[in-house]
Amino acid sequence: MRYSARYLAKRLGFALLTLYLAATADFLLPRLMGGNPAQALASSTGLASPATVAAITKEFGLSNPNWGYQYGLYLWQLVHGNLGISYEYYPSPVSTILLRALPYTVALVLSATVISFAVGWSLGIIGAWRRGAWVDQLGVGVAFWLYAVPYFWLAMMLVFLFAFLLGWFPMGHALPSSITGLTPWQWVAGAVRHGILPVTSLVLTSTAGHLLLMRNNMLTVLADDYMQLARAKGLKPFSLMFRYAARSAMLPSFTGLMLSLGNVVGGAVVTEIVFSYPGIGLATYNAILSHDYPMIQGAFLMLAVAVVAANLLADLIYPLLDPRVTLH
Amino acid sequence: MRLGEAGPEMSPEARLARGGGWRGWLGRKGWAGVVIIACFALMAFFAHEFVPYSPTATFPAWQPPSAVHWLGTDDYGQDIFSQVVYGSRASLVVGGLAGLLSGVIGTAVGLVAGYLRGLWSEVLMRFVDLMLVIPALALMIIIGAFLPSVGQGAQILIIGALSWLWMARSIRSQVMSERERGYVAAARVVGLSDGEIMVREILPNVMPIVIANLVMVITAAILVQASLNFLGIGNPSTVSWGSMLSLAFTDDAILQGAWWWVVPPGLCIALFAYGFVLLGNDVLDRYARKREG
Amino acid sequence: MATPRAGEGLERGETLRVQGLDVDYVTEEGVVAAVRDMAFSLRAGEIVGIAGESGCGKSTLAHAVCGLLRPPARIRRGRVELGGQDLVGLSERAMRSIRWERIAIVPQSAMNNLSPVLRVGDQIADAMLAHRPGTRAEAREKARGLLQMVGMSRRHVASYPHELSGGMRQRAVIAMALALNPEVLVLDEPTTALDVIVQAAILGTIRDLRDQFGFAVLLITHDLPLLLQTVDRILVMYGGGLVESGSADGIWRRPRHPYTRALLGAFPPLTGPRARLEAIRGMPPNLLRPPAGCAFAPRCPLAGEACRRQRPPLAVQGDAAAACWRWEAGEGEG
Repeated sequence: MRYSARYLAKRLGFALLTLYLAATADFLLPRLMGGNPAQALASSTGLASPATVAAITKEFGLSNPNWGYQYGLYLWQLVHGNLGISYEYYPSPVSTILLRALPYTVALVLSATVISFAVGWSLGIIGAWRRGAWVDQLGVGVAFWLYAVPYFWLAMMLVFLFAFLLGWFPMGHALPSSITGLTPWQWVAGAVRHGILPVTSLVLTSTAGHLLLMRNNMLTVLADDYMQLARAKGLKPFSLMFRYAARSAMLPSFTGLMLSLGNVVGGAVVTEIVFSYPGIGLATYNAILSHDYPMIQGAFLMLAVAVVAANLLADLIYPLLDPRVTLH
Repeated sequence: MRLGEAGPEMSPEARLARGGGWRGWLGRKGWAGVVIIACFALMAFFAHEFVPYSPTATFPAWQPPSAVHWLGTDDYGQDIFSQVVYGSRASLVVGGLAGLLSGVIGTAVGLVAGYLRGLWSEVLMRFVDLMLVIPALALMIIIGAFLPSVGQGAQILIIGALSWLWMARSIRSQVMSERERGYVAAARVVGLSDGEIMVREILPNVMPIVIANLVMVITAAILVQASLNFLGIGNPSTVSWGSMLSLAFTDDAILQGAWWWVVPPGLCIALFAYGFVLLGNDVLDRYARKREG
Repeated sequence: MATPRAGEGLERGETLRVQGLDVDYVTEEGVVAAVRDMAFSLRAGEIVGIAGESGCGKSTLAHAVCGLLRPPARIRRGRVELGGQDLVGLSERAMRSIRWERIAIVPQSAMNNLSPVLRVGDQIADAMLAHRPGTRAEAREKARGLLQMVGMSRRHVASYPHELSGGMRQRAVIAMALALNPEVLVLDEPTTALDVIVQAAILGTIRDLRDQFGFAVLLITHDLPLLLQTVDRILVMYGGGLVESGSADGIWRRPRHPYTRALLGAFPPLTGPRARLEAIRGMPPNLLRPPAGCAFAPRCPLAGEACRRQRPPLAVQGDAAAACWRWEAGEGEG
């Protein structure tokens, strides 16, 4: 067994603490920003009948102005998976709506991360190996440029070029508009076709960071003493580059990758909007437009949970990659 | 393989001070970045001087670029070129000030957490680690969505308060290695206080790192501000590149084939941010090279 | 005058012979003559030590011998013969197959020479598999034997470098160097950063293995007294060139070059009556602009007019040689 109970407890504790912090921020921020949820609800009239307002007020303890009481109730409901009721889709619970949207976002972020990871690392490894060669200069040059491009604009440009002008891909949405009469294979093909542009736009903007980080780490490793010995003992360049250099350079890059997840999620939020991709980002955007506050709060928590979970997973994988991490 | 031993150790300050006049400060890419930034700054500053129309004046809608409207008009018939020129102000002001605010917080936290050892610096860094995990843009959305209105001041505060985490980590690790150097020990022997050592001795030596980070934070701030405006978290009546794209998106500029409405603002954001990226990386490169000796 | 025995064929038992070797570093400020006119030979089973201060070119020499120089370093002139074959000018590919098979190196600061993320046994196995066909399991099994041979435990094959002490990592690298049973083993500052006891133990191990397998050893160090106890023959380098060579015994009894004498004085002796510890005054020469005469002249207490004007040739006397005007004039003899 590689993991000690103490290591697991520490990582789990860190994750839970982060979630607690996020939940508390989620509770406090709206109140600190001057919005009384009950009033906010009242101001978004037309969306809910007085009876609804009363029901929501009662359910969330908003009639009791004591924040401590509200906070306790909020946490209590939270641990029971209750994120509140959507104003706009009353009486649907926020969690139901968001859980329906979550898989789309996860699929988007996950596939974009895996691809940009692979592309960025390969280019970073090769660039550092052939430092100064045209591959390297081109890679770094393009990476710097992409680093500066806003996610949503790149997404809009992709839609404009490949969906509007060329018509190669659909303009938006995640699935073909009518799914009746489709074979499972056609369904999957449709989903992939809809996913290509959003994923591409996320990949293009997030690859830059991976490339630059990996290249830097590779350059550090290549200057290390042990690379000299590895070279001297007769290893072929391929084995040198991957088994010795990249294997070590990967470790700090892996940490960087996990920390960049939050950024990619942020990117996914705006990308989804551009592509009308029905994930958490689009739900958030619609919620902002319709002042559906519980939905905004719920979406934030949902994203936080996803990122924290990914980080926890990374914490569990990392020791398997780096033998120096003592698990005690 | 060593080529003779290094001479008596030179203080990093002295090393940095070497090298020619102002040309020696930056490399070609760095100066290119400065030129880009300066061009946008001039554009923002003298916007009213050379803009053909008021950004809110209306003309026939959906006009493609022509001699009259260099970049065409939008669906309200507003002149895109004038809007782009005026829009630079929002990016400059919000990106710059939010970046500065973040820079000050990040530097202070990095210095303190890197120099002082003990419970508090440990707690501080744990907090930073925790915050790094939480998706920042989502947090900004929460804050922005619940504010009664979000002007440029609010944007600066929100972005500035949440963008310093990376910078604090980077400066902290640099300060930690700096702390072990001879000149810090010497300053301690001389009897300087911790505060004096941090500000007068260590800060000048990590300045290139601070500047490089500051520049990157400004880059991020420009991009985040554009995202917030795009999401509608900002004052829609202030012309900015982000809000232009937001309008272009909601009013279906793409379906109208109005590329002249979509391309220029995005290109400006990217180019402006690119200037900072070039500058920041050049500063970092030169610092690393000087450190290697 | 370049080499004492230039032009002759390989003598009986000679495995490595270096002749008239010049190595330059091409830098922005100019060409640095890191090694010049270096010549020596190594017989099978012999341990030869090379001593000198840091920057004297001894590490560069070690890399040149193993074909490991990278730009900006380059061999300008000379031969490095291994069993009669000149290694200078061989392609990277050709050199890759010779290195480790026939000549292996334990590089400087060997404690940092192992990848931190691969098991020690696998890193040794990699060296074997890069040269000879076989399965990883076989190679690992052989690595176990090698580790045992250098005085480690067989189970260290599964250890990661960070789990081993500095001395053990050093031994592991030696095991790796011996994996393919080379004719020549080059040790570049193998024991710097190790404490004296561990140093002695490791050098003892190397001598024992030499006795057992008969490979030749080129041992490079700044620690002349250490060489006196370990090696058969010593070469002293200064400013990129050879200033003295001779048997360990001869150099201990009768150092000819003033620099050798200074080196002996600069270290506390482990045995014997010399009690005085002297640092050598002054700095090693700037090889970008080497002095016209003897490289050591600026720091030499005996230097005269001739020393500053012209470089002294290596004068051979029996199996000893020294490059010093004063010694030939008879003044060098103390």
